[in-house]
Amino acid sequence: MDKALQIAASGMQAQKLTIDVIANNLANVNTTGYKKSRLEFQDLLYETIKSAGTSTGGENENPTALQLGNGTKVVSTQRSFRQGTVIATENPLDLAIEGDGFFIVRMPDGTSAYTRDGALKISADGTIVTSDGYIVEPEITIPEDAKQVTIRKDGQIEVTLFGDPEPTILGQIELARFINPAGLEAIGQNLYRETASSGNPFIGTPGLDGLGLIHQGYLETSNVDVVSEMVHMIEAQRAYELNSKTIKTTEDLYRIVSQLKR
Amino acid sequence: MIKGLYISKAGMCARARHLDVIANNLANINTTGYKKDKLFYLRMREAQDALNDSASNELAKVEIMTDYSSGELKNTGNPLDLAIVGEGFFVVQTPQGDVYTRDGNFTLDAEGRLTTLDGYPVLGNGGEIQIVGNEIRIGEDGSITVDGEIVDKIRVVTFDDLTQLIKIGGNYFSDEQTNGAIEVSPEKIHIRQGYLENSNVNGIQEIVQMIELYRQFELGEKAIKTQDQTLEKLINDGGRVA
Repeated sequence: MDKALQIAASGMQAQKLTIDVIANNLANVNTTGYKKSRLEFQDLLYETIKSAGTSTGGENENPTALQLGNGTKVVSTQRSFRQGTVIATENPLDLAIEGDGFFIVRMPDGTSAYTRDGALKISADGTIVTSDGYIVEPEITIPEDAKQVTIRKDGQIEVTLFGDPEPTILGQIELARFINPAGLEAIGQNLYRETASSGNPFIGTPGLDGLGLIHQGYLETSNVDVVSEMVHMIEAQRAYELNSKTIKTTEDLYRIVSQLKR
Repeated sequence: MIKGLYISKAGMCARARHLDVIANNLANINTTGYKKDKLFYLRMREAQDALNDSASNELAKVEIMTDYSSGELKNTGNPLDLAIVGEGFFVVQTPQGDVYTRDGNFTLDAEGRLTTLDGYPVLGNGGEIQIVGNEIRIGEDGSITVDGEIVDKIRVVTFDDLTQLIKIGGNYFSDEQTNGAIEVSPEKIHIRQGYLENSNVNGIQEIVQMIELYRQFELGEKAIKTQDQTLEKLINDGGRVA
């Protein structure tokens, strides 16, 4: 019982962090392109009280080791890149990716970031940008006299100009995919950065090489499932309570011990 | 009389240790691939050694065994999350030698190797597993297909006596005390991609055991108090003639 208090505290701490992660998922339940995350735990180092094979007197040996654990620790948050629900918005610059892939965004420092949030806008000079004004790669400028913008499922952008019945091809939206998207680093604003564990981006045309298709006039909602988050919250709360029972029991045992001597 | 005190003490110390084991199980109730520990009390005859040697540091006569029964599988949808159905362990290479785990929560490192979350390479039949490509599929038999090409097969091993495995933290097991790892025959390997194995701790069982040990601890207290009162009477009133 000397260890039990610390062990239970580590368990309660872990469950508290779980609640934090669930809170963030629920807060982003209506964030376009948000991907939910979850926590991963490992057990802590074990203390060997006696090892297997040591003598217990005479010819006898301990058949097994006596090891006591020290609780649990958090190793990482893992993001799930499952498809979110696609909803219609009727806005011609709202794009949803159905399947694998990310839009490529050029950050102000020149590096690339990646997002599933396809709520795009047109900047003052006609460039297609994200809601935060970052340029979407490859850079495409919509002419001022454009009447209608059409983005095909394979990412090709066509505009119909005033006084010209034939559409003009402006360019092509490209998507990037990663072999291990769970390894991407979230940097806020619905953006992700590549890391060593995500692997290098594979950039290609939507619909080819395993990349998803683009749907114009639709947005991908978050993939947070409120019911399962609630179930996880109940689980975490009960696990928290179980660990608090350990603390209560330890306290009771100490009380009994202190009453031994009259 | 004094011996009775030591017997009661041994019983109470064993319960105190049991609480540590339950605490660790409960703390790891959501740890992927965690296997619960079970504590067994030794019978009095086996505990006799400790009683005869009352100065011994050995406070309690207990055995701790790990329960290797499977945990439930949970779907994560992540292509690098693997779960073993049935027997076997993944093999992980660390600087201290190979260790074993049921936690199939893997990722890739900078060189494209399949690793655990703390960065140790996971081994296939051909050693470290290099994954360079866009799409990874892992079959039920553990075969790894990257962009349609089979690159390796996940190594799954087991042991003739699981009780000899030692937990070393980080969801790993060490084979130091065993007779060495045995490859699981290919037809017995069942791997699920996109799933993880939950901890096999059952909260209700643990709480019931906690209540039991608490009551037994109280009984130990009563036994010690009774013996104390008897001793007191003997020492203070024993020589007095009525």
